[in-house]
Amino acid sequence: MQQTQPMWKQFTSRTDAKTRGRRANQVRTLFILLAAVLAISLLVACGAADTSGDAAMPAAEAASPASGDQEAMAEADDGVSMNQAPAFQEMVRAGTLPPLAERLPVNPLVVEPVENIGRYGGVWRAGLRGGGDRAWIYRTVGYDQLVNWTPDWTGVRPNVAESWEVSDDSTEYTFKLREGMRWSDGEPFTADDIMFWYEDVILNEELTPTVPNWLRSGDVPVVVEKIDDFTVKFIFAEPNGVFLLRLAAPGGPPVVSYPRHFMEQFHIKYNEEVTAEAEENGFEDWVAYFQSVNDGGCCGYYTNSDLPVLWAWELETAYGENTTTVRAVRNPYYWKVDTEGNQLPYIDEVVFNVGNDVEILVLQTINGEIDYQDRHIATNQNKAVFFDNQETGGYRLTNRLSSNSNAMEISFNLNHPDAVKNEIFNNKDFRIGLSYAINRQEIIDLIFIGQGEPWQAAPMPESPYYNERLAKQYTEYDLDKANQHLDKAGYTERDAEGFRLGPDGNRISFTIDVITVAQDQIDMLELISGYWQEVGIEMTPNVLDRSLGQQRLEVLEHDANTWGAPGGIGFGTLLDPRNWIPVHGHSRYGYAWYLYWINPENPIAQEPPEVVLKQFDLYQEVNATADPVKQRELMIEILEIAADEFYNIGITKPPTAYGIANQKMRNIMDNMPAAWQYPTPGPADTFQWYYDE
Amino acid sequence: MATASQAIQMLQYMFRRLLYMIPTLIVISIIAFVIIQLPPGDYLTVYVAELAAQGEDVNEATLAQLQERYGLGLPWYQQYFRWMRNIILKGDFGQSFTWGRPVNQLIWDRIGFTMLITFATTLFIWAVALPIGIYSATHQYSVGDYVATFFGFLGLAIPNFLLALVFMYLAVRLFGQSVGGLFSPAYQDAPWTLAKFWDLLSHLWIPIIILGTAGTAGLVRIMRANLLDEINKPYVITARAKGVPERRLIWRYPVRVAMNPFISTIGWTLPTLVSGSIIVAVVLNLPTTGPLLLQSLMQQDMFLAGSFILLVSCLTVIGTLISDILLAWLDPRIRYE
Repeated sequence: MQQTQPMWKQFTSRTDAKTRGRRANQVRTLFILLAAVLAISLLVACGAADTSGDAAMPAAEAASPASGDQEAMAEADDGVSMNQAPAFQEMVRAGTLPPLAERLPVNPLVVEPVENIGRYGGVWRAGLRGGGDRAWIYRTVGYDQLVNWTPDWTGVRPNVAESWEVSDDSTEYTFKLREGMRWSDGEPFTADDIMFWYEDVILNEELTPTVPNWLRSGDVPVVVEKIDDFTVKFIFAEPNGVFLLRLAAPGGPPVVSYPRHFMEQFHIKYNEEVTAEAEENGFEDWVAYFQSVNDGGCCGYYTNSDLPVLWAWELETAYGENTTTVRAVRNPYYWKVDTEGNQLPYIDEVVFNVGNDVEILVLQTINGEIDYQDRHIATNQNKAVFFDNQETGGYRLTNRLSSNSNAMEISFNLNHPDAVKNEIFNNKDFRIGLSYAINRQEIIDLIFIGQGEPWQAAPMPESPYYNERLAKQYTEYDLDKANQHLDKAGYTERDAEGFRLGPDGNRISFTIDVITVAQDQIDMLELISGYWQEVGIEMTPNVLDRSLGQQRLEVLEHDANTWGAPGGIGFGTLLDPRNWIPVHGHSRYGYAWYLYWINPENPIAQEPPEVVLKQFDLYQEVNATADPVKQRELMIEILEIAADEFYNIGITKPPTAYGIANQKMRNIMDNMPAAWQYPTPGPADTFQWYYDE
Repeated sequence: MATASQAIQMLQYMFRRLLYMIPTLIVISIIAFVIIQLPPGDYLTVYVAELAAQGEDVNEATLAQLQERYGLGLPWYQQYFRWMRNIILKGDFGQSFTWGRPVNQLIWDRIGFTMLITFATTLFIWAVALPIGIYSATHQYSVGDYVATFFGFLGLAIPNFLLALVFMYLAVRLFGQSVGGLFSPAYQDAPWTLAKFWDLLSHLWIPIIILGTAGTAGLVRIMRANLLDEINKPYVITARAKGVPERRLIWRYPVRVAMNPFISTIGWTLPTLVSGSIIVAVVLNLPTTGPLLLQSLMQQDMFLAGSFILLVSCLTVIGTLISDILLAWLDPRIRYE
């Protein structure tokens, strides 16, 4: 958006040789038009969080005539458009594929490339680990939702929906779909497909026993109405201020992932024989059969290559059809074009090698067999190896913006079933004392090669939710203050070895659970164990398998633990505030409070103290508030309380994240956020990545 | 007459062995299933934990639905009977949780490649170990024997996976060859052609050599020891005294007796190559059963892991049966016992 003006000038000078010549003037006019459209639509996108749906409508209107012109111009001498991949041109000539104009919607989404207009061709090679790694396919190939995040994660932008309107009280959301848009098999995508998702999946109690939280107001599910073939309306019983954000986040894909014409054959409402067919195919019932084709969630769509999709690449070899490879090829009906009207994506296919061992993936990367990957391999430990082998492997390291709020946060179990430990851990002075006793700078120097800054679990300075007190309090290394606070906590008595005694007269001694794969954290805990010994506290790191750690957490058996700390930048803080308010299954300081938030009847749930209940109220208000300014104020209030309560002890700012990219791969956004809520690299538009000559 | 009674004896022997297989398999399947259930938590615990570690999450409703769908709330014996009933009645091995599809659809191509590699490796081991073993025994304490012994001990001592890592490192550094797997990326999911077959052959030799080293070394030692025992027996000396040519003598009598361990290998190579080669297969990224089994165990993907263990056990039991039958056929002493 910031470079619209210089960019389009550049485009005209770089126009593809094939389209140069007699159409040059027309092309120029078109670009001015398109640039204007683009500028407007991007402005709309940025403002979309404040629900300026009204402004989106003119953008849509302006775009329609422009795309009409462009279709007329895109035709080459023999009538076949040059604005598509060469293979498709051949297919159109041979009559096996309809012309481009018939495949694109009336109003295709025009995407401004990050650097340049690309060229068609090439294969993007990446790696998957085993059978449970669908999220990486989602992030790379499958991120196309009703609305998408803007690449810089400051708001949402039109995607499948070309525009939307939000009622003043933010209970009604009306989405305008793209007329003439098609599934990857050529069938039209209309409001009926969304209605199938709503009526036959979400409201079907067998397929969806509980309607997901983000589609409910209290106990009342959202109502979806079809206005006409290309307009749908979502109506909530109460104001919902985060609906657009949730639509763009990883919960959003199902809305536009059920092609009615294909899925009806698996649904009992439309096919009476389906139960018998399910059994024939080895499934217990029709539900399992239906879900094996299309399983909802973020990542339930990658196991069936027949399923029509809206993505830039459609699956040719699906996940599990072959346990060694997944292959996705260009979707001939993809509905996005670049600013010169070329149909996207540029890259021919995406091939995932399904391995088991991360080291193999690392070796393949060093050997130049991976074109873009960050998942699994881009760790702190591997960075030096990757850096040294850039030349031979023909790749480069790209910058990503870590979305974490810390490199490691220690969460004491504030719901500990043991009365003594419960009392000790809930003593805030105890936690403050321990925080002062940590030599953070030494940890940064030893483990992160000097990169970092002493930090509590808190949003980064560039985040709109930055709170200095939350980030910096108790982070200095000061043994006097540490001892003062521990004394103040009441643990002044010591045993023969100098360890402090707890309220029951026994030595204060506890473990911190840390999972085997988090080597950095294990190293940090070893150091911290030494620091705490100096102030008379005995701590032993307890290295255990991930699933055992999870299970101990679920029955509150852990004294304290560490895991990952998201929520550092962008909307991550609002969508996943696990470190500051126990509304997430990994709010590990207050797991029993989290259970209370979900369901107070749960036998393990504990009623939280007054102040946490207040946080719950505030967070509910956040979810119901449409005004982003108000939303931010409420969030900041929650973070203030978190700063008072000091739930977690943080160590340092997270190390910079990176990705591995083929040296010839272009249009990869610099500093793309690395987060799950922003399913990196999806929102950075992988479909406009391309290979330079 | 003698041959007829021999045949009957042989058939009785086979029938008895077949009968023994049934309880063995039942017990194995129960033990396998119980062991899979032993680690804390179930597939969903692993699932949630892995998602959480990546900053992802899954909501309660989905979890409750998954638990219902997979029947994870039931006690283990109910899950076991449900599973067994479906296998016996419908040939249905259940669903793989991680892959979201029936186990049947996942394992067969893996088992195919595993059999291929196992078979090729066994042939490789025999082809190398037999002549070297005989040479070592007949030329005891010669230079050749010492060289064979030296490499034999090296082969036994070096863990296969380490050898695999070294091979791969050299392949990348010296030849820039693509690492791991049985196919070049271009042929990965291409239909079978002559070119793809050739590509397979050009990749196949690495795992065969790596997997074969320890087995070869072991068999060379066994062959040498057995043959040495035989060579010094009176019947050999008698034959030699009677003027039987040395080569014909060795091959005709002591070698045949010393061959017994080779036949027994069929029984034990099947299980070791399927389960014992897991680490090598993981390191080399082979499309065999090993890595899938390991992964399904780590993720507590119960039915996938259980099916693998069941099938591997079947293969082992069948392999033992084949080697028993061959032994009985080769060595009459065995079937009289």
